[in-house]
Amino acid sequence: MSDIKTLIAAWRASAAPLFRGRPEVLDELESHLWDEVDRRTAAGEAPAVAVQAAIAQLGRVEDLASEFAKVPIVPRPWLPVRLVWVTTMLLTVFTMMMMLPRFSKGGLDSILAGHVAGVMLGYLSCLLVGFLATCFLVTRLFREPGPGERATIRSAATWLTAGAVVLTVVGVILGSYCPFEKRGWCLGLDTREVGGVVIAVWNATILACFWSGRRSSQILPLMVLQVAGSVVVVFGWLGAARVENHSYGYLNSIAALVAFAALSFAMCLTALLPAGYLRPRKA
Amino acid sequence: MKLTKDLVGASAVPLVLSILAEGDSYGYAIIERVKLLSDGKIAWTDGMLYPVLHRLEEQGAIRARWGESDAGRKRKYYSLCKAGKTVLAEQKEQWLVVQTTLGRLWGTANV
Repeated sequence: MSDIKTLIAAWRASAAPLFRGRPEVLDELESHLWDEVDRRTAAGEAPAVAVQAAIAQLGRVEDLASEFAKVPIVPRPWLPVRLVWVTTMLLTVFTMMMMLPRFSKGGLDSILAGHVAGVMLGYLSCLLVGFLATCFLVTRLFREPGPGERATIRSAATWLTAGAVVLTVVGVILGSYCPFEKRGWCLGLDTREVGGVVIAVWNATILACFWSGRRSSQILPLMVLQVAGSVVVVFGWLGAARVENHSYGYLNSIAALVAFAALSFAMCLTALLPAGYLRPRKA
Repeated sequence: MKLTKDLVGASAVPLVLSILAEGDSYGYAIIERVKLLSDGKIAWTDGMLYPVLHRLEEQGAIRARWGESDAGRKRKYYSLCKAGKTVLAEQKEQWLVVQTTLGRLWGTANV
């Protein structure tokens, strides 16, 4: 058995560079090899001979890789992504309508309205990506999301995170021009704006991760980061507001903040479970 | 007699969909079933089935899920979707047209 494992592992290692970003294809081909080797060894073939024959029958990895290269990973519609886009549009329209009277006043009021609109939409975009990541992690407990779904989630999360970075940075910069309420204990900004800077830096880091992993189909670590990002937003926004004695009611009570962080942490831990862990098993 | 590469390639989609119409299956089992049904005359290079399965999955004709084999190893199972049933119905019609046309031609020639 160890001979077979070694030989199949060697085949996989040799094929891996040609299937970069598609580990699930290698998993499937490896599974095929095991089935064929099982059949051959059961028929009396020596393990080494069986593995070599199974590999030969599977075909040259170069040919397989070129065939797989012709199969594009097409983004597939996914309900949570649609919901997030609709919510984003509604929130944008709502925020703009709310801020329009202040924008129209000009001067400091416009700057303040820009600040509020920027940080609010930036934070909410990040929370919506966190929602998407949570949907991904929950779905993964029952089944592995397909490549098309992963492509859709990746695309939506990347655009929303990029939007969140831009809006948060613009919001924080505009906020730093507003002289009101300035207490100035850190870089001349109040705690809420420090929270905004932290959120912007976190989002920029996640965006860099998305960019560096753009050729990989693996998005699980990114989704875990996004769920953690929701905690950063909640503490940077609602938590910082609490420090400034600005209450959003039960939303930024200590209990609510701690409960949200604990739930998010638990959600991140589900990434350690194998995909389909909660899928009902056939008897 | 073995079928030509072109014919094997063209028949891959209807064969895969027809087998999945019988119930969920996985790559290795699909290949074995085709070998059995064709008395070994339809011989795929084993690995070449998988791009076909992935293409059908991307088109939404079939759905994949990871499960476990009896030996406890990871295995990817495929099942036919509603869209796949439609594709299969279309493929059946097309292949029946080819079969009928050839049957008429060759039936006439044989007479």
